[in-house]
Amino acid sequence: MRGPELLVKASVSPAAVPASRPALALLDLSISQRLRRTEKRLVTHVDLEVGQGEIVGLVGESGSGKSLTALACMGLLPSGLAVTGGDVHLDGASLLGLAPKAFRALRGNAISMIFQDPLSSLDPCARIGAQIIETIRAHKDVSASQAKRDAIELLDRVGIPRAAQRMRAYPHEFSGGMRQRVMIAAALVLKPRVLLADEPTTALDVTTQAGIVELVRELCRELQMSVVWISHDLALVSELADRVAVMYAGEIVEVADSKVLFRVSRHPYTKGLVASGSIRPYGERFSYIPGSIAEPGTWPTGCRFAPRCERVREECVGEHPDFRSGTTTVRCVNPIEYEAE
Amino acid sequence: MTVSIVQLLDARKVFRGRRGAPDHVAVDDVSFEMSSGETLGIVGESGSGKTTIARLVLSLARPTSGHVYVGGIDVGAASGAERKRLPRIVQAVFQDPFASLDPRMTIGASICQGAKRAFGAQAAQAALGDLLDHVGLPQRYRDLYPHELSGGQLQRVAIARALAMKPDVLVADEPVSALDVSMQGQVLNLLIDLRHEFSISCLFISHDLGIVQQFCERVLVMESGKVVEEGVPGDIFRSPSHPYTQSLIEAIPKVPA
Amino acid sequence: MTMTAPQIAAQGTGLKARPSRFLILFQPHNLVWTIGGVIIIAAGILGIVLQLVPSWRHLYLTQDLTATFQAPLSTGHVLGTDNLGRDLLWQLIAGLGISLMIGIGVTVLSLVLGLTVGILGAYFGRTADAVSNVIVDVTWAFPAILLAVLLAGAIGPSVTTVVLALALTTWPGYARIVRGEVLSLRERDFVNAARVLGVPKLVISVRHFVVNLMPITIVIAVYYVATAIIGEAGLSFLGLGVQAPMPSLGLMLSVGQQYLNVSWWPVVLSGALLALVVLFLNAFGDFLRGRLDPHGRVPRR
Repeated sequence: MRGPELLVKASVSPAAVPASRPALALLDLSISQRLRRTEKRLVTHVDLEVGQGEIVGLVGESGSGKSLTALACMGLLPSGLAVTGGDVHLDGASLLGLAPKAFRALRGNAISMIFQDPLSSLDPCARIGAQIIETIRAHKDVSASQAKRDAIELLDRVGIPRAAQRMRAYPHEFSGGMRQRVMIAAALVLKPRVLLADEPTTALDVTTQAGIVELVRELCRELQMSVVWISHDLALVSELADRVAVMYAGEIVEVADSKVLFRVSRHPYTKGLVASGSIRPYGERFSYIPGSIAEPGTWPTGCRFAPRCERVREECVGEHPDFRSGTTTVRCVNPIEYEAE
Repeated sequence: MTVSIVQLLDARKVFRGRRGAPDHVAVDDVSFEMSSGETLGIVGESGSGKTTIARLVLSLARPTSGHVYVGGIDVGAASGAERKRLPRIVQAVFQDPFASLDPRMTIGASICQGAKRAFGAQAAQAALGDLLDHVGLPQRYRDLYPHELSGGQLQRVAIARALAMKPDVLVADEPVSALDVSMQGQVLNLLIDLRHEFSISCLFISHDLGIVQQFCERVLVMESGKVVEEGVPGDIFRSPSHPYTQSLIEAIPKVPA
Repeated sequence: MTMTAPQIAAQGTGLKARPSRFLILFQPHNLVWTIGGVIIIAAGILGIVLQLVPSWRHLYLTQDLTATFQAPLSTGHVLGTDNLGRDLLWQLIAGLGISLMIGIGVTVLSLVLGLTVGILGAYFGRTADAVSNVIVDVTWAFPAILLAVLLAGAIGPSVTTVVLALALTTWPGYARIVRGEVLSLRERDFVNAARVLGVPKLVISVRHFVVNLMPITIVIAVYYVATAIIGEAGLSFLGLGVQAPMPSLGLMLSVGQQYLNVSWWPVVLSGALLALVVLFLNAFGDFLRGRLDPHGRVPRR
C-alpha cells in the first residue's frame, strides 16, 4: 500500500467509539436568518446520522440549504445566520454547545471541510508546503523537519506527483484538480473523524472529478473517516456514497441507500431529479421539474414541493408531511410505491 | 449536398504568453463544416478550445491563421458591409445568464437591443410580444430587470434576444451548465422546439456528454485545441475510438445498477 | 411549447417590496447629518440663486462704510459686517453659492473628461490606450497651482481660471478608475452579446459602460465637489481665482486675514463654513459609498 504509516495510525482506535454510535449526528437542526423583527427559516429540522467510515451524500439544488447545513456543523455560518434549533453531535458529544475556543480546537482536528473553490481557501502568496507545515505545527507539537516530512507524505498520498519538489510551488502553479488535492491534503493533516466536502468537484472536469472521487473513497476506507459529500449531482453521489439524503427547500425529503435510491426513488422530487439527469437517445425531449425551487421565506405551509409536484393531492397543501419509512425514508404523504420485487 | 453555414478551415488561435510565458495554442488548425439546419455539438474539458471556437464563429476573436466562414463570409477578412450582415446570420446564448444580461437594462430593452438596429425600433417592439410568447415568458416581464428573474427565465430572455435577429445559426456555449439540474430540461426543450420551428442551425458547446448525445446530430470531441474524434454522438459514446473520448466516457458517474 | 405562460408566471421570483435604501437617513443617529446637510444645501442653493438673479445681489453687495467690522448679533446684521460694512451672513451664503458652482463645474468637467478618456483607453484599441495613458500620466503629474498661475497669466484670474485649473488636474484620477472598471466590464457576457448583436462600440460605451459606471461616479462626484471647494478657496486666497466684488469663501479668508487684528469673525466664520461644508460632503460621499459601491472600487477618503 502506498499510504504512509502516518495516516494509518491516525484513526481513532475502534474500541473508543462503539460502532453503533454515529461519528456525526445532526439532530433536528434548524438554521434561520435574523431579520429586523422576524426570522427567515433557511434550514428546518434536519436529522442525519453518519456512521464511522461511512460516506453520506447530501444532494440538493441551489437554495436547498445543503451548504448551510455543512457550515453549521463547522460552526462557520455567515454572520446574520444562526442555528435556531437542534444540535450537532460529534462522537456523541454536542458541538454547538462548545465554547468558541473549544470549537476552534476541534475544527480541522476532528472535523474538517473542503470547498468548491480551492483557490480561495489557499493563501496565494505562500508556498503550498509552508501552508501545510503551518497547519500541522499549529495543532501538533512536532519539529519543523518532522512536519515537513509529514507534509510531503500527505501530498504524495493525495496523488501529487513529485511531492517534495511541489512543496515549493505557489497555489496558482497548480491546476484546479491538483489544488483540490492540496486542499484535501490540508484537510487531512490532522486526520479528522469527519470530512465535510461541499461540491469539491463541481468546478472540475469529469476526468479530474473521477480522480478526486476515487481518492476520497480510498482515504475514507483507509482512515475509517466519515464523509458528508455535498453535491447537486445525484448520479455522482449515488456512485460514491453509501447513503444519500435529498434536500429540498431547507429540509431532507428522502433518505435511502444509494444502491436503491435510483431505482426506487419514492419522493416525486427525487424521481424528477433522477429523470432530469438521465441520459436518453437522440431526439427525445429532456425531462425537467416544472417551476423552480421555492425561495426561503416563500415556502408553502404544506409540502414545500407541492406547487411543482404532479402527484399533488388535497392533503399535500394543508399539512406539512412527516417522514414515512419503507424501502426509503420519505417526507411525502403520497409517495410513489413500487411493486414488491 | 447541403450548403455549409459555418466552416472552419485550418483555423488557429494563439494567445501570446505574457512576460516570457510560452504562447498558448487554444485552437490548433481545426477544420470542420456545419451544414444548414444541422445541430453540431462540441465536447471537451476546460482548456480544450471549445469556447475559443465559439468566440471565433461569433467574431469575438480573430483567428491567428486560417479561415472562419460564417454564412459565406470570411469573418477574419470581412468588409464593413459584410460585418454588418453578421448579426443577422449568427447569434449567441452564453453560459451564465446573470452575466449575459445588463443588470441595468429592462428585459424588453435587452431583447430589442440588436433588432431595433437591424429592423427598426417599431418592428422590434412589435416582434417583442411574439418573442416572449415563443420562449414562454409572460408579457409583463418586458419591464422587469434581470435581478427579478431566475436563472432559467434569464436564459429564456437570452434566447429571445438571439431569436429577435432571425439568425441562421445559434451558438450556444454551455447554455444550461449554470442552471439547476431540474431546470436544464426546460431550456433544452425550448431550444429543440425553436430549432424545428425556425430551422436554425445550432453549434452546441458543452462538457456534458449526456446532453450532447440527446441534443446533437453530430459531435466533435476536442482535446487541447484539436478535434480528436467526430461522428454521431450515440455511436461515439457506445464505442469511442480515441483514448481521450474513452476516458471522458469512463469518468461519467455511473448510476448503481 | 413546454410550459404555459401561467406556469412560468407562477415560478417567478416576483417583485418584493424593499424598504428604501435611503430611509436610514432619518434614523436618529443620522439625523444631525441629515439636518446639517439640508441646511448647507439650502444655503448653497440660495447662494446660487443670488448669483442668477441680479436684482438680489444688493443683499450681499451693499456697502455701509459707517458700519464696518460690526460684531455678530449687532442690529440688522446677524453675523456682523466686514471691512466694507457688507452683511456677513449674505456674504457667506453668496460665497458658498459661488464655491458650490465652481465645485460642481469642476466635477462635471472632470467626469466628462475622465469618462471619455477612460473609456477610449479601455475599449478603443491599443493605440488609444497608449495615447490616453500618456495624457493621463502627464496631466496627473501637473500641480494645480502651477497650472492656475499659468492660466491666470494667460487669461487673467477669474472663475474660469479656477474651474479649468482644477478640472484639468482632477480628471486623470477618475479616468484611471473608469479604465479599470471598463476593462472588467468589457469581458462580461452582456457586452459580448451586444457585440454579437451588432451594437456599435460607441453605443456599447454609453448604454453599458456609462450606465453601469453611474453608481461609483455619483460617489466620486460628491468627493470631487468637496475637493474642488477646497481648491477654489486656496486659489482664490492666493489671488489666482475669484475676484472682488464677487464673493467666495477663499476670497473672504484672504481679505479677512488682512484685518485680523481688527475683527476676527469674517475669517473664523468663512473658515468654519468651509470646513463644515467639506466635512459634510465627505461624510455624504462615505454614506453613498456604502450604499452604491459595496465592493469598494472608489478609493476611500
